[in-house]
Amino acid sequence: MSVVKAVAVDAGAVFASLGIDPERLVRLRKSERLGMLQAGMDISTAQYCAYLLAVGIAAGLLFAVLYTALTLAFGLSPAYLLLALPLVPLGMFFARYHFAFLVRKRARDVDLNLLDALRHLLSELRSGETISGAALNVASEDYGAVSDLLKEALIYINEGASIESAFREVSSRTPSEAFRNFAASLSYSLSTGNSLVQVLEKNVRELELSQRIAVSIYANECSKLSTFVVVLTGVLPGLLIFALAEGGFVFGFRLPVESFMFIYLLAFPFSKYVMQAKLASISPGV
Amino acid sequence: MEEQLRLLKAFAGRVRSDSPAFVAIERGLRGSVEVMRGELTAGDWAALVVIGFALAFAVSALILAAAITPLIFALGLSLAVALVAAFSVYALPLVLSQGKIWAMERELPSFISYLLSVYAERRNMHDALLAATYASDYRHLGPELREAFAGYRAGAPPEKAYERLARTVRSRYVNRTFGWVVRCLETGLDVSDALGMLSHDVSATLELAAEKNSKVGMMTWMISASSGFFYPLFAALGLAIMSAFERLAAFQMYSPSEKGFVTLVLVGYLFAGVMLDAGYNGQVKFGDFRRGVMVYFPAMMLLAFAIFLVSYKSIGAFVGA
Repeated sequence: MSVVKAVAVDAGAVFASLGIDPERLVRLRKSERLGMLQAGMDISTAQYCAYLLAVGIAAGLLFAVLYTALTLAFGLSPAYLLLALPLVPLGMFFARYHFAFLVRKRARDVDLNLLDALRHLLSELRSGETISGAALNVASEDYGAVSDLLKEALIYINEGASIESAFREVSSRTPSEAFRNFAASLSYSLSTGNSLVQVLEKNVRELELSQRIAVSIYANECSKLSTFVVVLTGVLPGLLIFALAEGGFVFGFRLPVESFMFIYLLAFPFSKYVMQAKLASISPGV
Repeated sequence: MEEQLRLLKAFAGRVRSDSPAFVAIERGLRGSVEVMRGELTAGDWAALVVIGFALAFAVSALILAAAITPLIFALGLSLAVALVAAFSVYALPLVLSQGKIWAMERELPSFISYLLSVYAERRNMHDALLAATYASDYRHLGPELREAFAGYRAGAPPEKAYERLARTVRSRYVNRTFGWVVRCLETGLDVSDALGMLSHDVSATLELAAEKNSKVGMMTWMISASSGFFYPLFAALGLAIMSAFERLAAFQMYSPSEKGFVTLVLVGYLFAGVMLDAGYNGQVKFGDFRRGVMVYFPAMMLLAFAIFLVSYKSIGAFVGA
């Protein structure tokens, strides 16, 4: 079970035992509801809302505890303890952002594993295996999210659904365009009697091409963002101390020592995380 | 070497325990150790992790307690050094096993092509395996192939004989190749098409990976350098200049306790930054953030700490801080 799912389930149970309905406290967007379906975590709306609230409350509490300990150790100003309050919505914002990242990452995981999975499927079909037998063999291998989607499709097929409808149903559970195209081609080929092997060969060729393009796009983005990452999260945090020291002596400017905590332990790590999440979500994964 | 290994095993044997923490470390290492097939078992490696932690803590506490005051800071830093040392030992089997898997994948296309050429001629997988297994001295794949083939010839069922290559070694290409080989041996199915495709897939993937590494390898390390090199260097510079200014102006901008807090916050960001960068590196190399933290974090953290301390001392000496 992923950490997010574990937090969602546990927080949901805690809120339920306290008689609090988290759905009444958090307003969800349409895209978030779709994201819950596509995240592959199997959590309810109430559990998702509980996860957001739990992360927000934990951020506020963690800050309060940490800041109290640091105040006792270093004699900081207790007034800044009030900043624990805005950290609750900030924590919720971070939790939303992270969940959206996980949904994008899962779509990426499908895209990255689909090529290998389709190659495997193709070789199974060429060796004379039936489509459900081939899907079963591919699903039992480690193709990440693709194996999970194929397992879901096989469950539908075993429950009596046709292969076309099972794959159509499963493709609605992933934001991956590549998987949807594959499911649509598969349904079309099965309903019209076209050669499935030829359809898969075409899909594999397209994916191979798109993977090469993905490497180029990633290289370009990486070249742009790596400079930003180095300057914004490497050089700037280091130089800031130097600038503050020099500015303080030359212009008599003195930044409250407590603000260092927000700049260095919140702003800079969050910027780094956002840039790396952006890069990770377009990584070609080879 | 054998004598040293024997001593190491005996020493590790004394440290082994059934505590939940020890068992968890052992469980985490088991997969990698099974792939490596070294002299040391997962339990021995887990014991070495514990020994590494204890030794690093003792040595660093002795040195740091003499150099840093108050004692609680020295002990805290020693704990961090000990954790980094334990992580380094823990990461070693992961790195070695991953290296072995990548090396086996590189040798796979040439093995498959030899296997296929014999199989196409004789239509007999046993003969093809015999020829391909002993055809070339595949450095990493070879011992596994020879052992599996010897087991098969000795009468083990194909699934059992090739179990390591078809399942234990966590590589989808190696697993798929030997999955087909086993299926062919068991059912007589013609797998030449499937193996031919697989050989092409492995070559294409390796080629693409090489292209990606040549295009973005340097940039990925630049990103890691942001927290492992640039940040500690400039942060040390800033702190040293601040101290130098204070000496020149005979005035303290921040009290000693406030400066202690600032240093703690700076080290906190160093820790968070290195962890994020190590995870990112893992995401790029293995597609796994946690694995990246396990493998790269200890070395990067040690490097960042060393750069921070060396820069602070040398710049401090230069500007008279």
